[in-house]
Parts: sequence; C-alpha cells; structure tokens
Amino acid sequence: MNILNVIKLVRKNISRNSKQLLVASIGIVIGLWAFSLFLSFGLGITNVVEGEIFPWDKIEVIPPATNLEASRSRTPVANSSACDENDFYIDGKPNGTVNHDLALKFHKKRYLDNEVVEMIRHRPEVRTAYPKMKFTFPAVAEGGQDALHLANPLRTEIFADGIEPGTLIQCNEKETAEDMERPREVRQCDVYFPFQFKDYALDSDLDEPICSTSDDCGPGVYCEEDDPAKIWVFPLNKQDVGNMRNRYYKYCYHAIPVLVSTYLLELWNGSVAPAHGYPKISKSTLGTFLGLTFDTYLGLSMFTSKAQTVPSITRKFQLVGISRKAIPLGVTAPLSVAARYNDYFATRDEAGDVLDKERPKAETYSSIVVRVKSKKQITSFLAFVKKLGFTQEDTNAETVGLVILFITGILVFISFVIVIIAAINIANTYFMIISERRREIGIMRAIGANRGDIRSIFLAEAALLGFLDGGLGLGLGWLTATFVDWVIWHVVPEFPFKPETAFHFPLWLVISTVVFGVAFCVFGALFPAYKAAKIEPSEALLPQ
Amino acid sequence: MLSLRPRMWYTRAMNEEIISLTKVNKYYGHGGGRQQVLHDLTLTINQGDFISIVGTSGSGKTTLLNIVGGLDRRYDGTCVVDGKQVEKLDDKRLARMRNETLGFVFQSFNLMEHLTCWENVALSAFFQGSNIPQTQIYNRAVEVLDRFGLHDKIHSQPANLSGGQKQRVAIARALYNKPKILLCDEPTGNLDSKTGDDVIELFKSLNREDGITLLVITHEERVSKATDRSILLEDGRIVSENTEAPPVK
Repeated sequence: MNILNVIKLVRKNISRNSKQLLVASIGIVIGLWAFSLFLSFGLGITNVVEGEIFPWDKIEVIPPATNLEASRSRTPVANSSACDENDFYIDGKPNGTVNHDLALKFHKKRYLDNEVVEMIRHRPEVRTAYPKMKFTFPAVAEGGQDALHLANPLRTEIFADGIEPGTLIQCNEKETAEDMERPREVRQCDVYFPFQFKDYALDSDLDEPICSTSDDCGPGVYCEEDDPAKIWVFPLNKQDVGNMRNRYYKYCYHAIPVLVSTYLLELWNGSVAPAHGYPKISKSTLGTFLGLTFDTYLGLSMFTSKAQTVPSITRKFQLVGISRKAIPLGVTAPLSVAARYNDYFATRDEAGDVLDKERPKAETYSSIVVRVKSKKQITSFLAFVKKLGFTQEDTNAETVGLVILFITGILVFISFVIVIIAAINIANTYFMIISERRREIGIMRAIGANRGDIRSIFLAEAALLGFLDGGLGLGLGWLTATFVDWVIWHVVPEFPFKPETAFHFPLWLVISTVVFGVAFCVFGALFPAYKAAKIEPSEALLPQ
Repeated sequence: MLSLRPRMWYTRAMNEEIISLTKVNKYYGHGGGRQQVLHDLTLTINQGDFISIVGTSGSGKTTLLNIVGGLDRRYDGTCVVDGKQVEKLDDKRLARMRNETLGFVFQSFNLMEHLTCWENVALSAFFQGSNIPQTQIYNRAVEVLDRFGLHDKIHSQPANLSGGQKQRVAIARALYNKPKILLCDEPTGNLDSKTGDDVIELFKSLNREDGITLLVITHEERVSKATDRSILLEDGRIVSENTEAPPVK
C-alpha cells in the first residue's frame, strides 16, 4: 500500500473521529507533558548542580585522613612486572623511564607536592591540574562598612587557601567590561581589571618604604606594621630567622589580592544579603565590590583562644575577582602567600626547624584540583588516585546527583504510568472506532485490502495521533517550563544558585517525547488493529 | 469511447469457464445450532455471462456471492474463480484477486461517507501494491465517473448524492480496476424503479459492450428478466436454472 495513500486515508480518518481521538489523546498529552517537563527539569537542575555547584569534571585530590600505606616499605623496581597486585608502579616521567628517587620518596611521604602535581598532569585523563594550599592557621577578617554602608565593620572568622596565579584568567580592561555583562554561568574572568592576582611580596621583597599613613604609599598600597613572615620565604630560609625587622616601624605593603568563589557569591546574594539587608553583588554592582579591602588578623581566631607560637600579623586583603577556582567558603590568595604564612605559623623546634609532624601541612599542598577531559575518564582517574594512596574530597556531588536522578526517575516513572494508562484509553477508543468502522473495513477488504493494509491504516492513524500528541505534550511542557522560569525570576525570592532556567530541553528529549507519543499510541492501537485485520469481510459487510 | 474491458480480455475466449463451484457446502453456527446454508452446490459460470440468482431470504444467495467473491472462505468444496482456487489462496493473493479480478456492488451502496466521490472510486487503487502516481489514480477515477455521468460530482461527498447517483458511484468504484467479474448484491434494492431500470441498462451495456461477467443477486423479477440466465436457490440448493426468467417468490 502506497504511503501517500495511507497518509491520505489516515488524515481523513483522524479528522472524522477528531472529537473521540481528542478525548482519548488527553491522557497521552498530559503524560508526555509531564514526561518532558519532569525530565527537562531534572536535566536543568543537574546542569546547575554539575555546572556550578559541583562541577562534574572537577575532582579535588586530597591526602588520606590516616595514611596506613605510608608505613609500608617499598623498593624501587625496574618495571611494572616486578610489582604485585597491591603495588603501584610509579612512573613519573613522560618518556617511560623509572624514576627511582621519585618512587622511593613518594612512598615515604605520601603527601601532595610538586612531583605529585606533575604526575597527575601527565595522566591522559587530565585536562588541567593545579595545587591548592589551605591556610593552616586561623584568621579573622574585619571590614566592609563602607561598601555595605554599615555603622560598624563586619567581623568574621575566615577560611583561606592559596592557588597559583598562573592558573587563573586575569582579564584586561576590555575583557573585564565584556565579562561583567555576561550571565553568571558563562563568565570567564577570574580576576578583573585593574586588579592583579599575584604575590606582591615576591616582586618588591624587602624594599617597601617606611611610612606613617597609607597616604604615603599610593593607591592599593597600605601603610602597615612589618610583616615578619615576609623574610621567611618558603621554603624556610633559616639564616633570616633572626633578621626580623623592628616591628615598631610601618612599611608600605600592597594589599594581598584575594578571590571569592561564585558559590560564596550565591550564598551572599541568596541568603546573607536578604537576611541582613545588605546589598547584593549583581552584574550592576559587581564593580563596586571589586577592590573592597578588609583587615585580616592572621593567627587569630574568634573560636579558639589557642595561642600561636609566633605573633599574629595584620594584613590588608583586597577582593580582586570572583572565580570558580576559589575556595567555596572563604578567600583564595596567591599560593606563595599561603605557603609563607603556613611556614611562619608552623610549630618549630628550638633550632628554628619546623617540627616533622608539622612539615606536611606547612610545606605541601592541601589538595590538587583536577579537571578531567570527559565523564567517562573519571573512573579510571579515580582508580589512579586511589592507587597513589590519595583520595578525593567528598563534595556530596555524587549523593546530590543520585538524589536528583532518583527524584527525576520517580517523576518520569509517574509520567510513564500516566502515558500507559492513556495508551489503554487509546486502545479502548480504537475498539469503539473499529466497531463503528466495521462495515468500512468490510468494504476495504472487498475492494482489495489485505489484513496488513487494514492493520497499517489503524497503526498509521495511531502513529500520526501519537506524533501530534507528542508535539502537543512537548509544546505544553516547554510553555510550562517558560512560565515556571518566569515565576522563579519574578516571583520567587532570591536563593543561592538561582538558575537562568531550571529546565533543559536537549534535542534527544524533544525527539524522545515525540517518539514516546508515537510508540504509546501505536502500542494502544496495536491490539485493536490486529483485531480489525482479523475481521472476516463477509461478517463485516453484514447489515448492523 | 471509454473501455471498461477487463484485463486479458483477448487471451480468454467467451464461453470459457470463469467461475466454478463444485459441491460447495456452507454451515453457520456450531454444535447443535449448526445450520447448513448451501448444500452440495455445484455451479459453472462462463466468461461474459450475465446471471441472476434469485431466491427467498435465507436461501443462500448472499453466502454464494461471498464465496465467489472470496469474502468467505469457511466452506467445504471447491470454488475456482478465474483459474484460481479461492480456498487455497493466502490473504494477500485473495485480496489481490478481489482487487484486480472482481468488482462488488452492494444494495446499500457502501460508500465511504468521509471520502469524496473520486476518492471512493479510486479506493481500490490505494490497495494496489505498486506505486501508482496520484495524478494517474485521479485521472482514472474521473474517467470512470465521466462514463456514468457524474463529472460534476467528482469532489462531492456521498451524502450530497441521490440514491441513483450513489449506486452509480458504487458501480464506478467496482469498475475502476477493469474487473472481469462484477458481483452485485441486490443492486436495485434501494432504488426507485426508474433509477433501477437505468442501473439494469448499465449492467447490460457493461456485459455486452465490455464483456464483463455479471453475477447479480436480486429479488426483483425485472432484474432477473434482464439477465441471460437465472438461477433459483431454495434452502441452499439450485432448484431451477434456465435462460428464461424464473418465477420470483
């Protein structure tokens, strides 16, 4: 039977039974509406979670909490065949040669240093890897009264870490202007013009002029008490220990540039600012917050009175950018700043050497942030990390992802149940239609239609109906999603990570909704169509 | 003039056997309620015959027509139509035979109300296996409708036609594929006498001019009188068969 003729008959049949089929289609349309809406919602939320809250490709490698492996003695070997299944053959060199020193040292240390960073960077799964070093001492920040128009400055305990400035995108004037206009999700810059993210102490060393007020120093430079940590440049330079300056003098120091995370920004905008009536940091006000400086008391804590063995230091921190690479709850400074102050606050013996138990936290990285190339490679990379004896920072991303998947799964299942029930309704409608068209079936059989032709007509009719239902369900789903997005933006109060859209309609979802519509309608019409095809023409032509 | 001559007209001579029923028995129902409708019915119809089958209600006329037309295959005996043994044909071949060799005309016209006249006429073309161009299908339908004076009704719905026009459309549909055999079940039953006479004349012309074999079931004497041969069925048996019109009860 010619497909064009089938379509012609089907089109006429559908328009003839339009009311019946419209009623029967309601269930299918509702089911597919729910299917497309729920699934697109699940995908939209997953996008927000995986893209912004817990980036799927971001793995933070950390040392294990208790390092039992470290106690195992290892002997460097020539090649991997000499290792048993519990061993890991470490080959840190790209040319494949065995680095005996590295292997030996590595098995003794088991903490994150430059060699581990290099090893990770050489992995085929890894796109980028950069180390982070947490501040291992407490710190308290104070300030913000001008920017926030407050009577008194805000005072809070802060967490901080350090990263290599080279891993950040530091934008020039033009790039900064363009980037600030972009939606939050697609912003590229980590550091905005005119600020720079670098350790100014490494530039100027000890040549800062003595000053009495900040006016003597110039823009971005502040007159502060001497920084005793500055002469203990990481790694420890023992001969400088006794060479501390007179702390009664003040010197011009550039404020330490720090970044905050997009996550913290969302928390501020979504929770803190609305709760306390503080201004939000939005696209329009971002410029006013950049350059905000605040005093930071390094070595002091609001929570504990445990005294540091060395005097605390007061330094100016300056907000220079908002970055996904920054610590989620805290501020991120240049890595060498973190290293310097960690070294300064590390506990030492009488000779001035950092105690052995303190060395890892004073001298090694707290984590290595890795971006893998694809989702498929996460498993193999994590296996590598595990073999190294390290672990990954538990971000709860997996749990959140599973919860989203589970909820989406339930909602999609419900929509499937609706569609299945609707398909039964379609079957019932087709039984009625076939009963009505019984004589027509007889006529068609009499003039040359075989059973397959009759079956094809009814199934094609159901397929076309399913196609229309799928399109309608999808269209309604999209309209609902647009409405919900509008409500989220215009009615719902601010909340962290408020998305531009909570829905995602990829092409496969569009196609699958229509395909499901066709499939379920055909499924519903299948049995009636077979029954119609089985009707004997002589019986069908009997007067009713 | 438009030709409605069936296919293979020149390869099959007149008076050659085209329908042959041998010892056909047909039953309805099961078990104790089983009822025999045709009893050892044997009948031969030649190419070009114009035959009427008459008989009372329940005599088995329509059953006989259904068997010859391949619409009912649940019978005992043998039925050969145009050289093909009907009971041995599978569904597809049987459908093809109905499509190409046979044409059906029913008492109640049996037109599809949601299709236009030309679509009703061309319906059998829809079920042909080959891909015939739509324009060719349309042109053929118009050609046949023209023959029956329905040119102005090509795009009309059946609901807008008179009974006579409907029956002419039904006949046009039956003749669309140039069948060799036209099977008519009470074709004038729903028509007034004038229109009925027109249909009878049309049948005569189809038989004489186009050589189509006609098997007409009828209650009406004027119809049976118009045929060359009339067969009287009673209780599923042929009780008389002659070239003169038999008495109609």
